[in-house]
Amino acid sequence: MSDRFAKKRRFGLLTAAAPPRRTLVRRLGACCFVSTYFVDATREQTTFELLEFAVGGGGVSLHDPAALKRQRRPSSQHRNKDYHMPNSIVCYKWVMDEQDIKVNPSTLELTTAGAKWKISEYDRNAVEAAVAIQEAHGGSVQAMSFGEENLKNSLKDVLSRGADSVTWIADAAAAQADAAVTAKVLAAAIRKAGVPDLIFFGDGSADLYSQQVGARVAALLGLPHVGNAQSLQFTDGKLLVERQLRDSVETVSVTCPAVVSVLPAANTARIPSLKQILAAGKKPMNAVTVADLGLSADDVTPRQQQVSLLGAKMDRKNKIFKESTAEAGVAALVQALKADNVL
Amino acid sequence: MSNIWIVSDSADVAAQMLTPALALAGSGDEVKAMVTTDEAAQAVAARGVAVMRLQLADNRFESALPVMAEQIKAAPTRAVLVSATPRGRETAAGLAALLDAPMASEVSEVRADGDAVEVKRYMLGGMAVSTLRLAVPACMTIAGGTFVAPEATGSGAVSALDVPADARVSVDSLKPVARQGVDLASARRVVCVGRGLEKQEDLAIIEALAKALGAETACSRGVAEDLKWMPLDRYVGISGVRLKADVHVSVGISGQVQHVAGIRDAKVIVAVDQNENAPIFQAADYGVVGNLYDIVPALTKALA
Repeated sequence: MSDRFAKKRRFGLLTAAAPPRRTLVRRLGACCFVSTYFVDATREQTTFELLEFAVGGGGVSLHDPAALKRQRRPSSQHRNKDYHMPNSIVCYKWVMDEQDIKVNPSTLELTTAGAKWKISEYDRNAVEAAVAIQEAHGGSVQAMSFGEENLKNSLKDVLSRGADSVTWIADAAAAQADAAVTAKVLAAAIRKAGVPDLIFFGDGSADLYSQQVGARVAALLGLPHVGNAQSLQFTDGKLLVERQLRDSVETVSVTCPAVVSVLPAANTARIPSLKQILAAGKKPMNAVTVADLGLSADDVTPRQQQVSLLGAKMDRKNKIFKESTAEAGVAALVQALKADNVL
Repeated sequence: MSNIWIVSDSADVAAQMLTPALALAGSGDEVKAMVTTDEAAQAVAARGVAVMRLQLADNRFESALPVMAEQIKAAPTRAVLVSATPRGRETAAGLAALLDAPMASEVSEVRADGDAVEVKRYMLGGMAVSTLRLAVPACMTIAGGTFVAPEATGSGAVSALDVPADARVSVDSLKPVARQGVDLASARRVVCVGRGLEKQEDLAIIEALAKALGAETACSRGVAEDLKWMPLDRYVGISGVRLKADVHVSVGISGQVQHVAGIRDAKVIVAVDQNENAPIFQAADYGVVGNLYDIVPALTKALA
């Protein structure tokens, strides 16, 4: 074996940096397959030595070299047998865009007709956090979500943001689900997929903003939860997190596996490039049912009911002045404020 | 005979939460408390409620999760009310999971409804109010300033409860954030500026107006988070500061729902914006449409 490599180095071929195949296969384990074409220096043929990593049962498309590059360890780590690439699951929610929701001013009822759906904003920051760690340390990013049937419209969207695969659980129960039900479903799905090193959540969803699911999933899985995360660093198998608290910033070091809820201040979610959008459709999308997860109808029945949902009334005076000059407008304002004893 | 628990890492919120907790208590029910500071323990005991002072080995409220769950599970529980502080919100959710209980976050109203508990909370960025009926044990978080604390009458028993450190989380540092000026949430008058301001130097005209009004300055989320013209603890909105001011002047802010959620409790709202169709005017008591660079100096002069 070493002779063959010696010959390759003499010919100065690109594979000089690759580890011996034996070590590679042991390290990658059952989930991966390696296909290599060795240069047969004696026959003086040049072919490429190509290593193709498959993670989690899916394949990385060669059409997306950026993803392929991410799956490789940074080259300085190749010879360190103990180096561990962190695997992540990032959970997201598919929600109605609240800007498309209208409130009837007299009845205060909400109309959602024609509303577009989106990945909740803070969840994009969570995806970005997971992808950033992958870019620095390798490993995989699996997106995961629980929603209604239209959740399938979210899959390419989340994949284009950098996730390598997506696992999605669509069920009619999602329409009435509260944070408790959502957390039970996601915790079960995470257990089924295999608890990874890192599990990411956004701080809260754009529609309900309950800020519960991340902490609930952590408690259900018996894992530490670190919320209010404004900055993250993965070092030596631990996660270093800076947390934005009320009057202080707490920096903690947490062992993996761990659950993190990410603040929007943590990063700026990148806009998917055209290449990422086109590659998204080729990535694995795994549909899982609530039954697959061993959950009963009772498990997905919330223990709270929404009795009513109405537009929030802002009963304000609405005395708005539109004068031709600033001075006139200000004069009118000050007069009104004095008349109403505000000033 | 059920327990109603209040759980808090803030003395003020602990005292305030006693109001809805006592209102939920039916005959035979008992209100109990678990708090993380001596100040909070005194505030609760002074109102005649028995309180456990958690002795946190690692100074982390989050580490108390298993100990608190054990205490609560020991007897039938009607409700658990937790302070909606950054630590409190996530600890409450973990607690609700361990109790297999429903939880409503940051409720604005609470009332008993037969065997259930009915609450109201804002959603959709503050655009809508949801009324929810929770089965017991009903968990909820409550933000400071939502309720007024009851009068201090009597003395409840104070006991200590040891909480071991969470071996999985180690604290590298805990750095206090230097607060510049008054705590916005308790400011009586506030002038809040938004993206309508063209450059950072122009903050001077806002500060002049604030001075003339005797007000604190604040900003919208974009000004703090994206433009970084003001510190993060000065932005007003659903994920920032919620104002309880007497007078709030909004300058160059369009008035998106998430921002308005932070100003809705102000007594009087005055808005200045050049777009007459800006949503802020629907949320305002008084307003002037026009260029803020003309209006703000003129207003400062008129108030001087």
